[in-house]
Amino acid sequence: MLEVKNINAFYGDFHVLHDASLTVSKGELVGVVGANGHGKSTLLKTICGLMPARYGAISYQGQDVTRLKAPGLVGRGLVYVAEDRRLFPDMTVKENLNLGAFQARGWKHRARNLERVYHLYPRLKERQSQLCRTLSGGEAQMVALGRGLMSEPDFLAIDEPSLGLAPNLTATMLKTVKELNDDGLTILLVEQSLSLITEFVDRIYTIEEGVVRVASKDAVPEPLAQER
Amino acid sequence: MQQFMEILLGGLSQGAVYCVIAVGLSLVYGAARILNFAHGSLYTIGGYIAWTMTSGYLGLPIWAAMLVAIPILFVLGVGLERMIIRPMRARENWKINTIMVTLGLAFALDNLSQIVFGPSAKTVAPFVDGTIELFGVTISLYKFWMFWIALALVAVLEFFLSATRFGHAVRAVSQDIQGANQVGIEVNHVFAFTFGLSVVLTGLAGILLAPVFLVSPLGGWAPFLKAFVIVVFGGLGSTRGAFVAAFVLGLMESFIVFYLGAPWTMPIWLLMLLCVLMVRPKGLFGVWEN
Repeated sequence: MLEVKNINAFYGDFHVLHDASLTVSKGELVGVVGANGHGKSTLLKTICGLMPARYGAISYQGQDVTRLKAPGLVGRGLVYVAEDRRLFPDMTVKENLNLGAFQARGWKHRARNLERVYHLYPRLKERQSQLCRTLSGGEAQMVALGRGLMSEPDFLAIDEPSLGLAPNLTATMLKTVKELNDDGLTILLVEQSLSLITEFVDRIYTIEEGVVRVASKDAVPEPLAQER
Repeated sequence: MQQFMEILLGGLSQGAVYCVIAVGLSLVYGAARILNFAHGSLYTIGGYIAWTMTSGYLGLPIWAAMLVAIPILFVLGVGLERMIIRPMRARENWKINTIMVTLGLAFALDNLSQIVFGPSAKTVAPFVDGTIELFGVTISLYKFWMFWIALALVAVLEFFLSATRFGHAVRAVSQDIQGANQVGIEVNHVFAFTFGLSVVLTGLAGILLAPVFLVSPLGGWAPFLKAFVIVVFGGLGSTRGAFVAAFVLGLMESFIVFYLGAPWTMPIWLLMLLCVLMVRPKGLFGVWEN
């Protein structure tokens, strides 16, 4: 479904991703594990059209999307959920969720998807009129994921959902991600520690200093798995 | 009492027009991150469009001039954003650079106005004559209508921002550009659109005030400076802040002019501004962070 071939990405002159390649097939839940500052977010942002890839190619659903920016990709069902949430702080929970359905793709199904998100997170229904700047970290993460679902995605790229969450909330969040995957959503999930996601993912990649490697779920070198 | 009402009503109608100018300035700063120094010159352009359409050449009534001016001003704004601001966004320090470029644009527009229309001020006839009696005070019917038209413009804008899908997209862009990108909003379109919208607002204010003040090449600077104080007072980027601040300062001006004289307006406004900024550094309603 997604095929990333030797992409390179830069912040200014700083070379972040070095020939990164990975594939995700339809229906999979694939994990990418790496420590802070090794290019995890850059990898996802490049795939999702929020940063340009200077070299390399990305194909999605059999089409070359290397040059497409986020709006074009969202229209095709490839949606990014940011580690830092990126909510609209002075709008309500409901307004934030509905903005996830800004494009025609999600707009058509916004009533159904809103129901679905509220079913997934009844807490958000209670708080639907509350401004997002007043939400707790856990609630903000629910809105971030919910807003992604409102775009009617086929493929969700989720960036470190555990960031800033208490361990029990992280576990719930990752269980939800797994459930979404079981319902047919293809997911690329990035996390810092392998132990968090190992029970949920089908396959794993590691990323270290911008280099992506295929890894076995059990044989990731211990320092990497532990590093925070 | 009658005098008090007179000052009050004068301040309200003044505040309503300031509102239209300031809301546009604030909107474009909030959503497109442009501190538009040509806002006042575009206000003047609005005045000249009104003059050309009415007494100058075409002889249309001023309300028709307003309707015709809307698409012209919008296209002008979108075009300016595309041609002179968008190319700079990709570069370093583009926010400072846009200030310089819009300042340059202001000088270019002012001089263009002077070349095309000449240095002498133009008069535009109001669409209604006569007076109306309100609370025992006689005010000109035109100012009465000007108040409601200005208020209606701001109400339409507020409705657009708070209740429509594209209005929400504009607010989304002003609150988090990356977040807006993520949900699939074409951020560049929103930048151009809001710039066009702000030019429409300031231009319409220029048309509304054309019968009250005269239209002259440098006539936009005074309203621009006032709008600038209002916008900072209300909180840069907050349209609601600009709304409240326009009325607060408009009323204040009206009282200052009566009791102390017009030259005291700006000094007292700026003093008020300093006081507000000492307590709330982002202005009354300022929440927007980079």
